[in-house]
Amino acid sequence: MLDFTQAIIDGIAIGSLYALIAIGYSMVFGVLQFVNFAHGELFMLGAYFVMLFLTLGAPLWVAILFSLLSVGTIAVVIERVAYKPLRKHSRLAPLITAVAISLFLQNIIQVLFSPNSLSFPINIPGNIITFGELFVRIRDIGIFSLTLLLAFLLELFLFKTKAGTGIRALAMHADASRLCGVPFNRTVSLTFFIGAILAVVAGTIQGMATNQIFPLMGVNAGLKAFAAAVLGGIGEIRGAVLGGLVLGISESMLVSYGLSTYKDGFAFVILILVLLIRPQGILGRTQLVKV
Amino acid sequence: MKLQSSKIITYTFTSIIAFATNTHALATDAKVGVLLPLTGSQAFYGKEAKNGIDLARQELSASNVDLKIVVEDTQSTPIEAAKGMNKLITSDRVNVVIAEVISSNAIAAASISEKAKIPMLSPAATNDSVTLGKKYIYRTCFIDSFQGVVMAKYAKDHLNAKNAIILEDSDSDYSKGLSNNFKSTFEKEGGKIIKVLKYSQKDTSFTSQLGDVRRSKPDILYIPGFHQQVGVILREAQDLGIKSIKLGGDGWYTPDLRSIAKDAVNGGIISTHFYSPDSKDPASSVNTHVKAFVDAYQAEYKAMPSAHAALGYDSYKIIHNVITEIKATKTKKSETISSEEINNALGKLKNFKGITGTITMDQNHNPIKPAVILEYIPNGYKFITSINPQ
Repeated sequence: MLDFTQAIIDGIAIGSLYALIAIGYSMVFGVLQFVNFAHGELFMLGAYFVMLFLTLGAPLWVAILFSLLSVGTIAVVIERVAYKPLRKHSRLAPLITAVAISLFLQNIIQVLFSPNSLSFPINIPGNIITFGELFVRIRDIGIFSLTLLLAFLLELFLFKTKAGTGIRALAMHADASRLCGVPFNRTVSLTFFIGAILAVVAGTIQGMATNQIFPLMGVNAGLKAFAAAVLGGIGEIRGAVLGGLVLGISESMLVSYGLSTYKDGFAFVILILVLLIRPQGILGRTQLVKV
Repeated sequence: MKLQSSKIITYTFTSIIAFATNTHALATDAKVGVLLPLTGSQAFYGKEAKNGIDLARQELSASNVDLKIVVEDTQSTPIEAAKGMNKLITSDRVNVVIAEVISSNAIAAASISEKAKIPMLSPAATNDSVTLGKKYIYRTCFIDSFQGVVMAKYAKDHLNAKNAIILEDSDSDYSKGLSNNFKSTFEKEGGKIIKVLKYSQKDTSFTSQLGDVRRSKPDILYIPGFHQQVGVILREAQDLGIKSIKLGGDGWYTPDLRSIAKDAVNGGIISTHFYSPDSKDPASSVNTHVKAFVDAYQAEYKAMPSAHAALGYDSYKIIHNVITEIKATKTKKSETISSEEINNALGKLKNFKGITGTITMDQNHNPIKPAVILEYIPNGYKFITSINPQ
């Protein structure tokens, strides 16, 4: 029981990071029915940009702000340049392009910053508080709260603002929303921008917590977050958060029961099971596709 | 008349070619392939080894043996290591290869060179199976079984440890090798291995494994891994208040470990190939040729050499030494040096004075030489002891 409770606590922090990245996958999928496989690289870019601005002498909050803006803009540019021209082609075309963009970003960072891992200039200390045998990092409580806060703010934005309503309308029915005056391209860009911002936050947290960043850090995180998004119900913000946490906690359980070797495969077992048994995910709704 | 002129042309060409090949043979005694991870996750180790090789080449540039170097990058993967070895042998036609510092990649490269009967000398691949049963594969470093045994004995005899937990990198042959040998020796000596926990090189948090360590409170936490993960593990262990003594292997021995782990690395004890004392250290006066190497390295690269730099340096000197000896036996200058001769000489290498110890090859092509035990202290290392194989 002790192991079990501890595993849940340990899994929440990593699960929160999965959740932040998963939201981006989920939103883009909701709007365009397209999996942006370059999304994991935005997580990596976020960490590198923060490090770059920090080494240029910017204070942390400025570095994070600039990184949010730069990576957000990069995400919008990627969409305009690489995905938009393919929108009328088969669904497979942008998917392949996304993989190419992902490889491109990984390699350009390897060329610019060397393939080695770099030490992150600012760290969050990992002090713990104990409850008898159980322990929790203060940092992890912060990461978890921040994730819930950002998800809450995002929901608020989607339900209370005009632009947010636009995104929901587009997700519901693209053509009908256009007829109602929702600016299609601008709304798609906004969706990519928001997804990128959350990925940057996750990347920065990971950099500050582990004290190192490397060009391929987005690969594993991106794949896991994708599995989390599908598990929670792709297209749903709450689903993405729930999926991320469930995946993080499951992985942590596998480790504490001595099955760590199978940990990385587990996300994909979940992915296959969800697609076979409940393709719409935990919180997803079945949609009637009318022909 | 026509026939005549074509004959002249043929003669001219033949003599030009003969002349060209002849000067070629005079200029270069042998071609040495260098196959290292120069990009990718293990690039640090590869570049260090390359620096060592370059330094040795510079020092030996005045000698009467001329070696041509062909460098290939393995991108830190076994697949590229095998491809690179293939290229060196089939298209560059090298006589001998200094190849790979990472065990998994060295195993891949070795299978190619063994088949082609081209001798390969690995500076730092420590996994036992790299040279096992191979006729053409050698190494400059000691092997994992020795490293694991040394640390287990040290923990038992010097630290009076009763129990231990091993944290093993399940993606690495090197880590598994150290882990298995530590376990069997520690148990044979009467110690108890509480658990063998595993992690993956993709992991960024090790809290689940360390939570287990925290509850078990072992005397020893043995972490035979590479610095990228070990650095984070040490920091998290410090956060969790784990008081066990942390032991490790040569995968720790890079300056990068300290930049990731910060002061959490202090108190850690490792086995490694070589100790680079600075001039302030009283131990540095003991070994003058080690000091000369360290000074030359610092002058060239403005940094302290790691174990991999020292092993790269020794590897190149071994090859150079072997080829010099073969050349001395040749009476005619035009006689070329074959891979077979280099292979025989490597197998018979005896009492070679390297900076990582005096090296003699045993019948399994593994050098018989001591391991160094170091402790991490603030801003440096403390030399504890050097242990010879029995």
